[in-house]
Amino acid sequence: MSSGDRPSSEWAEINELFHRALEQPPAGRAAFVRNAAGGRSAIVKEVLSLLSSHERAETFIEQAAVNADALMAAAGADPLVGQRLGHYQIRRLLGEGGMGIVYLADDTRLGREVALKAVRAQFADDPARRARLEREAQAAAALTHPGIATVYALEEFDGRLFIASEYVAGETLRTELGRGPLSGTRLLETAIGIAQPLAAAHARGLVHRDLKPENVIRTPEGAIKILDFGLARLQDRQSHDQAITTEGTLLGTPAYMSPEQIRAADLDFRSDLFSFGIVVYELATGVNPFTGGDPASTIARILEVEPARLADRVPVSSANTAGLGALTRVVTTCLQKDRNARYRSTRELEAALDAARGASVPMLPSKPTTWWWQFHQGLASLAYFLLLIPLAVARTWVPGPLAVAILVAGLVAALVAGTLRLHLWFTVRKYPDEWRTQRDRTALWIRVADLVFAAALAASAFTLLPSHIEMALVLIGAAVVVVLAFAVMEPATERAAFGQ
Amino acid sequence: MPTPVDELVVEVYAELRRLADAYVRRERAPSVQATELVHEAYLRLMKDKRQAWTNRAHFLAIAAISMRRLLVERARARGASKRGGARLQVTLDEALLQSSGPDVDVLALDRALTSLARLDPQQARIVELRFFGGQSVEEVAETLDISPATVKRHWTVAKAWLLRELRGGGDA
Repeated sequence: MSSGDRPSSEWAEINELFHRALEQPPAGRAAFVRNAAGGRSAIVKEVLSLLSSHERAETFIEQAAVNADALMAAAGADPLVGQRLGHYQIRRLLGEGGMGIVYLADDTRLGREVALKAVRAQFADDPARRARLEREAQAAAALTHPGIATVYALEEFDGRLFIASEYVAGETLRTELGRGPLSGTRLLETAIGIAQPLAAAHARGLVHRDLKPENVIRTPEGAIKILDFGLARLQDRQSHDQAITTEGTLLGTPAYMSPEQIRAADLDFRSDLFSFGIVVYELATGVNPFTGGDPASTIARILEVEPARLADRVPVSSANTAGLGALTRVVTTCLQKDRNARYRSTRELEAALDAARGASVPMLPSKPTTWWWQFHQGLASLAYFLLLIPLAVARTWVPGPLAVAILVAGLVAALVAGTLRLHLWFTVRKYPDEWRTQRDRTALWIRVADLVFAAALAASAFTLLPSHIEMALVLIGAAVVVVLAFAVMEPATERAAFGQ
Repeated sequence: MPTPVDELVVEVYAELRRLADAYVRRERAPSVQATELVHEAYLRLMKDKRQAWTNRAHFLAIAAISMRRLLVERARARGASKRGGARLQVTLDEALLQSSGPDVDVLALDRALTSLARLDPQQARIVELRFFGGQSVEEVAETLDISPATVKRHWTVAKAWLLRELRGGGDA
């Protein structure tokens, strides 16, 4: 309870006296209480009453009404949580995967948090499997890389096996995918974040075998960590290499398996490359290219179907992402059914991703150099809108259908050119790596609108020439400035800002 | 570290009541399985506070509240059916109850506990967690964020006080 409803001081005193009296020999308690309470009969009476009750209260409510373990089991709560196993204090459930239940535990000996995975019983019982499990845990423990959650130890408590590994806070890519696909730099950096530790492990001859969004975590600091490296065989499939049991029924999801994994062939790093391709495909598009329907049809697709090109499946919003073409080629190479057609090493994959990053490197070297360009875009937009005022005035001075046409043309042109420039300006400020795509999309429209606007200014000037020579000169001057601005000044600021 | 359990327990007390009342109102289902209610509450809390609720002490703290309520409902329903009234039927899997279950008048204990809560809320909570939640002294200590020794002291007094209320009745 909160400290707001504190018991009365009288009750506190009764408690105090009660406990002190209990320290006395039974025969002397009554005298002790009368003495200590100093004549306050209400308190004396209450304490004595409690003491007498206490003598009869030995078994009273000592036996709980409910069986806590049975209750937890019935409610689906895990009885291991809160318990202590050896030097591990189990704090809470982290998740339940194919491998078994994963707990967050405190390693009280080393004072660190660990992920404690309960290995399914069948592994502990069969000596051959167990020996293999120990070898694999050893191999996994030998692997240290900042992008891989380190395996610490294989432990046994009460005949149950547990794997203690580095606890990685953060959320899995599966959770992230729940909010929609990734795009742009984030997508590419995530792919690279997975490829790097993968390459390091592959260089040591370790294969993950179960790469999927659930096994990749992004830490709160933004780093990528792969979980369960080399531990996939501990899964509840008989052997992870075999997706299909002898009865022909499927265990677990095949959604990220390579064709050779489904065919139960010997696996090497190239199987991980295939899974990597699926993961990146899903990160970019939000969908796994092979799943749909039941596991059997997923298997059929993995074996038979060429997925649509990545670039054709990404959401419209990221369709213009720079580097998407290169990433599409990477994914296509990884998803080759024939593993010989995939990358010859994971370093090669890494290099291809780095190249994709090179293609997507933002065209903005640094902020200061874009300043003039930004200034120009802002000022030009403003000037266009302001120049609509003399155009409108001109129409009232020399009315007629021609003046209306000129005003409308000028208005439309100013709106198009001004708005698109502001759009580019915003893009540079908020999404710098998309600037070039946006520039390419809008360049023609801006150019046409500029020309129409200059023409409208000039035409208006000619209609004013006979009657309002000063205004005509101003408008001609403005037209010339508009032309100079987009033909000479804008390219200069653009070159200064973005190179080329 | 998770939030102190007790804060969360107080926070969800209303939710549990709401859940139980919903069962009562649902006329087509006049009986509720105790585990069902606890499980549902547990799942809801897990969803909201995944981090904080997934341990044994948390779970039992929630369970204590619901089990107290359920046992009281059940006792009342029994009394009501004797008088011909219809009440929510709480079915308790016997395995959930201690086999050598204590011979305690749950309704009287519940009333006495409510009185004790006015006198000393913490002592009442300790009894609730131990008796209705099946928590050990250590677990109660963790739940309430106090030392096991303090739990024991409070427990001794609370027991004496409650027994006197149940036996003799009336204020001393």
